[in-house]
Amino acid sequence: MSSTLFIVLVVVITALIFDFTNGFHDSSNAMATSVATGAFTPKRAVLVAAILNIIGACLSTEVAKTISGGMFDDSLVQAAPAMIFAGLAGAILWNLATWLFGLPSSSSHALFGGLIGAVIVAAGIQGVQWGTVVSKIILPAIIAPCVAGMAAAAATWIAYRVARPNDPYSIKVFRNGQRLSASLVALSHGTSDGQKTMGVITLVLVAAGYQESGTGPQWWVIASAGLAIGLGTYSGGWRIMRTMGKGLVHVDSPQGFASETASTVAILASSHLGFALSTTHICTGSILGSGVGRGSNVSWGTFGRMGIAWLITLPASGVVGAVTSYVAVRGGTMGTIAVIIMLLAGALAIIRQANHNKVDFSNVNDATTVVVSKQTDPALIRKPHTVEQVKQEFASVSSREGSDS
Amino acid sequence: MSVNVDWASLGLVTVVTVLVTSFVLLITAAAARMLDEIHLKRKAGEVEGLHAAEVAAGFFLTLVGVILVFGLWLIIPYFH
Repeated sequence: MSSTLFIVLVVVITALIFDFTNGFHDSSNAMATSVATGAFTPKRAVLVAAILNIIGACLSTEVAKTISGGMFDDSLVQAAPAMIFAGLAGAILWNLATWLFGLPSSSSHALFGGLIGAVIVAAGIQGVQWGTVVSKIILPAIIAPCVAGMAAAAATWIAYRVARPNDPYSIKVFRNGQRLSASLVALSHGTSDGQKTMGVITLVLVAAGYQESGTGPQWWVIASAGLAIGLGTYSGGWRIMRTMGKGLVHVDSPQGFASETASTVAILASSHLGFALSTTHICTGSILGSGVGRGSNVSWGTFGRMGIAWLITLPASGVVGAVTSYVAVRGGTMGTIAVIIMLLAGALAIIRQANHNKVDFSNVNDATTVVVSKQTDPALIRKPHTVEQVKQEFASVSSREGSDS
Repeated sequence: MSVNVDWASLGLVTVVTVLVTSFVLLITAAAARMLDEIHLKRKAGEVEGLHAAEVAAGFFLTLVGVILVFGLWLIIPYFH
């Protein structure tokens, strides 16, 4: 096997793994409030989101022509595909680390951070357009939650004044509305994020001479990227789902519908009116805004931790990208193998730590916080249950609600 | 370092997001309110205002449906 084919294979596999982490990291964006309010059962929520993500990924033909977004010269990373691998490695580790702490953060920002780190190692600090980094990464990260939060707060305030949210028909209308608006968020996520991985793989194939320049992604690239993001979404990302659905504010159906509608409108408005905003930041802001609009207690501490995670996404993934780029580019094939081993070791360590206090579909709504330490706090977590046990719990809750109304 | 921010687009995104979200919630909440009214009137055996409430609920729900279809149209790139 030639060294070019080896690095192409490594980049393709790493890009698909990144796509998988992108899926489970962002499944909460669409479904957290629906799971929290019971509009969808947890398993059904991730199944619907996964299917819509796959459909979304296959719907669009607008595959990203660049992976830099103008933040650096694309030819730099195209000349050395190991740098793309380094950027992806940084993004994967950052996605896993934030998942461990149950913190939503932008997968796109993590990818840009990893690539910027790799570019700095190769071309120095002047290789990065810092003005574009500020206008496309830092500013939108501050603005997105404010825009979506304002919209969700105003909408929630209106909903609680016009409707009688505790009446059975209102609950039914808002729950159905939640299902539809959450599905729209999942579909739009598939159309945008599925394309990123396709763009990365296509660029590497073109750079290595396995595909003609100017051609679109091959069928297997579309299918594998769609499947990877769908499988990632189906795996749930339950730790982030708990923080988003339970950790920020207590969410009821009208709030859930308001926040998902605000997210959908903000995503569509930003993508069609020329000011791109991150889906993760929009969805977090809208959940928070729905709490403010209702006058609920908001966990500002949790939001503060999220804000810190957003701010350090770029530098943290950048440092990993820089180190892995240095090892992979300077070390050639052996360096790339060393980075693969480091990446696997890091990922396994994070997954092992997460398994000490596992969060899954059966206990996602049982607490408001995610426990990272090895010690088990029985007040915060419950051991995961089987599907049958969860079905019985939902059946008993539904029958109680039925007798109440 | 030059930072170019398209403030006009940002303002437009903000205004559109707040107004459209508020409008969708307004008509959905109005539809929910009408459906509750219809349910209560039927339960009480009242006929007065029932037809008007049914028409209003149908109108608001249709409007929500139209906005939903428009959202789908915007999301799916084949349509535009």
